[in-house]
Amino acid sequence: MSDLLEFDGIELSYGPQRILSGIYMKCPVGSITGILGRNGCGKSSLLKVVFGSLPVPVRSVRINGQYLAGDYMKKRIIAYLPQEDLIPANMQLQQALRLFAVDPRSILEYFPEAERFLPLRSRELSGGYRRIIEAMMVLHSRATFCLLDEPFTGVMPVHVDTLRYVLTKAKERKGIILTDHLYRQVLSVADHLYVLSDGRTFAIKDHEDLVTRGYIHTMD
Amino acid sequence: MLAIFTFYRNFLYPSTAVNLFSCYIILDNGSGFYGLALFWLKVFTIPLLGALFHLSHAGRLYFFHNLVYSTPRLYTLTALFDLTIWLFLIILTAQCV
Repeated sequence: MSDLLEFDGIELSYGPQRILSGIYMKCPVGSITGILGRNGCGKSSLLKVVFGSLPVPVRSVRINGQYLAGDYMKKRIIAYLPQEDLIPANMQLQQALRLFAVDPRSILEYFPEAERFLPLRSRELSGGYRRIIEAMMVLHSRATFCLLDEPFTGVMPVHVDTLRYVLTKAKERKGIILTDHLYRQVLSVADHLYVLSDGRTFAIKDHEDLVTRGYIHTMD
Repeated sequence: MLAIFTFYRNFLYPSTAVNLFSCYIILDNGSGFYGLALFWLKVFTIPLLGALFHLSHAGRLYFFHNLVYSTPRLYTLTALFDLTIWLFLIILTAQCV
């Protein structure tokens, strides 16, 4: 039986504004789950809560039905690519890969031009190159589940295709949750799709649901 | 441990300045008379540096979170690492005077 990440019962408010309240989502190994939603609807916060870096009063995150309590980051079950830069600005890429226990060859296999970036510091890379390397680093980490917040943002189209391919390869051994405003890219790789709206998740069965939920006007 | 040292590099210059100042005071006095005062100075500056860093770089800890270090664990281990270096330098200096 493949591993399954599930979460629900997440309550998050910023002041009087309730951001997350009626969440239920599951992500089995072998699939990519996409989350779409308007700006400020809580997608990034949801991923941070599930990862464990944003404490909330109530949450239930489970692996195969087992509740993850306390500081479960140290179990290294879940890896997280934040919306912001992941690798510290003054860190060399090869050092970051070493700390992540990622073999550079696993990235060079899909992205050979990254070889010349390995000795460089993160701040010396363009935003797009940094993003794709960070995304690949998370996907090749030893965590069983990967949470990717806007992995396609700033990445040029030819590398978007590479990243989509890496995602489909990585899902053979991982469960992946991703969110991005480049929704066509999300639709093209996601096996399951949710829209986050009014603090709640809604499973999307077909693309028309996106229009109904007000995420897009029409589907071309 | 490599991750902690990597994170510690963010505090390297101010922390080294405090360590060298402590060593200088002991060398200058020729005794460990001010040892306790210097210890409290170090204990005070560690959270101060941590707080200053956290205020400006709180969003840049996800890398270390991915390496199984939660925010409290990261700061605590780095503080202990820094204090160990300080203690080592102080003992070394005290033996020289």
